[in-house]
Amino acid sequence: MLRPSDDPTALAGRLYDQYGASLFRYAVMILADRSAAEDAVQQVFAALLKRDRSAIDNDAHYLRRAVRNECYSILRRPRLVDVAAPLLEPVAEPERPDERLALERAMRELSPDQREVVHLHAYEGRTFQEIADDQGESINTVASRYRYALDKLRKLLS
Amino acid sequence: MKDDDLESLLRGYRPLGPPAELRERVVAATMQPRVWPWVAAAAAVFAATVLLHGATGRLVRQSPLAGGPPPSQDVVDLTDALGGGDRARAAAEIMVGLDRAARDLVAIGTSGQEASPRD
Repeated sequence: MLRPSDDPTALAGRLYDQYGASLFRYAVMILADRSAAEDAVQQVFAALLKRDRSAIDNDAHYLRRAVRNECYSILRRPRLVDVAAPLLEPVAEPERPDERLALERAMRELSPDQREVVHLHAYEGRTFQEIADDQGESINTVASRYRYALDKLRKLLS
Repeated sequence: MKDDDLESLLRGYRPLGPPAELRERVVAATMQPRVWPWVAAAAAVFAATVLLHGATGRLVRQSPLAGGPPPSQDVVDLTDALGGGDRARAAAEIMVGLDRAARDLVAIGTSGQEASPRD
C-alpha cells in the first residue's frame, strides 16, 4: 500500500521495480507503439506521486487501471506510429524472425481492445471473469472479444 | 490453424519489455516537483530585485541632489529665449558653459599680459 510519507523518488523506484515491466508490456499491447507506451507509463507514475496516495489501497490495481486509461487517452489523440518498431520478443530461443514479424503485423491489425484481451488472457493468463470484473464488462463481452481477436489473427496468419 | 495452435504460437512470444532508461525517466519525473520550489524562490528573488531597483530609481530621481546644482540665471534666461524645454536647456547649458570658458581664457590672458612687464 502506498504511504503518503514515502519519499516520492524512492517510492517511484520501488513501484517501478515491482510493476514497471508488466505495466509497460500491457501498454505496448494496447497501443502497439513502444514509444507511446513509455510515455504512458512515465505519465502514470508522475501523476501518481502528485495525488493523495492515502486513498490508494491497491498499488497494482490502481497502476494497471491508470495505465489503461492513459493508453486509451493517447489513442484518442492524433499521433505517428512507427510500425516497423518491434512489439514482441520470443519467450524461448531461437527466434524465428519471419514468424515474429508476421505475428506483429497481425497484432497491429487488431483493435486496441482486442489486443488488450489477448494480452491479458494469453500472455498474463487471466481468466475472462477476472478481466470482465476489472473492466466492468460482462464475461460474454470479454470472451467474444477474445474470440473475434483469435479469428482475425487466424485469417491474417494463414 | 486451430485455437490451441494459435494460442501456442502467441505464447511463444511476449510483448517487449521496457528500455533500461525508462526507470531513470520515471524516477526523474518524480523529482521535478522538488525543483519547482527553487524555481519559485529564484523568481521571487528576481521580482524583489526588480521592484527594489525601480523603487531606488524613483527615490534617487525625487532626491534634491539627484539633478545636480540648480541652473544659473543665465541658463534659465537663455532656455526661455530658446523656447524652453529640455533641448533648449541643454543647448543653453552648453552655450553658457562655452561663454564662461571664453571669459576665463580672456581673464588668464589679461593677467599674463599684466605680469610680462616685470620680466
